[in-house]
Amino acid sequence: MDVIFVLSSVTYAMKGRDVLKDGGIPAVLTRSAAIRRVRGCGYGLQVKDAHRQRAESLLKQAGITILGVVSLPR
Amino acid sequence: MIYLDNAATGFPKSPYVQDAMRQAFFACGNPSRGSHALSGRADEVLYRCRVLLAQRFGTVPERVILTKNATEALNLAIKGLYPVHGEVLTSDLEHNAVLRPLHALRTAGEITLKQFRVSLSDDHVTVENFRTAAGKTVSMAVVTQGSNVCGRVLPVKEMRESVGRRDFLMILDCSQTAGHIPIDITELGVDAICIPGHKGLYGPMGTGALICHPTRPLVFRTLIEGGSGVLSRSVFMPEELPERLEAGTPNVYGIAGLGAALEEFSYPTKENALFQMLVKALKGRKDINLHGYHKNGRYLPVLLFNKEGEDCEDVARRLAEREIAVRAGLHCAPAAHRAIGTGDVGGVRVSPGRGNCERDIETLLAVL
Repeated sequence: MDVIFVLSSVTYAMKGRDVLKDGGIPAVLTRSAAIRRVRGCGYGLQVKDAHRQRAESLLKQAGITILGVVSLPR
Repeated sequence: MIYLDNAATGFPKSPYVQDAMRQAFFACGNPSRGSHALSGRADEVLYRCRVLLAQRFGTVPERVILTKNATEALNLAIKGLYPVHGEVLTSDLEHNAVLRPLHALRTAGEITLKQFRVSLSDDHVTVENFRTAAGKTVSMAVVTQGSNVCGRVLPVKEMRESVGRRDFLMILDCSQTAGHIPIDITELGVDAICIPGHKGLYGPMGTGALICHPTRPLVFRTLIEGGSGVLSRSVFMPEELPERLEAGTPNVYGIAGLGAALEEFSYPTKENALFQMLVKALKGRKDINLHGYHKNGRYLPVLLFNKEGEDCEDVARRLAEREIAVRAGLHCAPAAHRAIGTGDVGGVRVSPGRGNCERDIETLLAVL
């Protein structure tokens, strides 16, 4: 299963993607209905659920505010 | 053509910059607006440029606001951060890009404006003048880091340190210094710096940036509101930078070019040598009045002079007829000319760049 971290902007999403990449976690920049429900248009980072905790920690360490976490159906 | 007007815009631009712009032209859609590849490529172009600017100027990518030039960056910073009914300090060497927004705010009764004098011969005097003028009541200063008229570089770090108050905001106009001297916003201790992309960095015209300190809390009022690609349901602009100050479709092609210019950029060495050669030669001529004080202090490769008995515009025209490009007049900085003593007559500005060689300076001297 995947989760999406909803972030405040495309800039933060790209920064987050690079942070996660440096931490060995693949992440895909995404726009989706799930994000729109939280943010009303916005960007998110999609990662494997197995990486969720560490990804969250890395993003917070980099000063990136996570506005929401959406679990995607299998 | 011998181009000696690099203080106006760096020339020639690199083919690498042109290639990047061309690629973006055929490969990019509107950024931050969609999940398709064309939009995504444009997002990458913008983000890459932010990263490169952040690395070069000592901040983080999300604190880089991409603008169309330094003037727009200065307006965003000044009008976005000014203290309502507070005191703002500026120097006597400013370009109209600083003076006009400040005077607009003063005329509207929004601020009280104070000015301090920059010494062209002694940086200690400049620092003391700044400290004294700031006193305990001035909330914000907007100053040039280097004069576009005479090239004098101000001792910004010492000036900021002289005013110990943490809540004292300082905005820097780096139009002439960006690309000529290393600038680290954290090291300087200022809150925001405004740069053009097309001068010392040799990016395309139509590019610039407002670069903010990486950690200081800065709450900007917005000047322009519109689409930002995020938070669409709200009638307000997002609070986060950079999107808060970047409404509407950006200049993706220009930003691609600026990114390429930053990738191949290195700090110049040749211009300064040519500048010294020019100063030395002109100092020895009785028919030339050099402006500025070239015995100490730091100078950018920007030289102002007048020729005895000949109007500056006539000198520039005579040089242009011989395919030598310089710039005459008041250089959009009448206050600086008044401070230097050329307020009535203006001057001829020569600004060598990376495309020049010794022969160019020799030719200029011969025609003069």
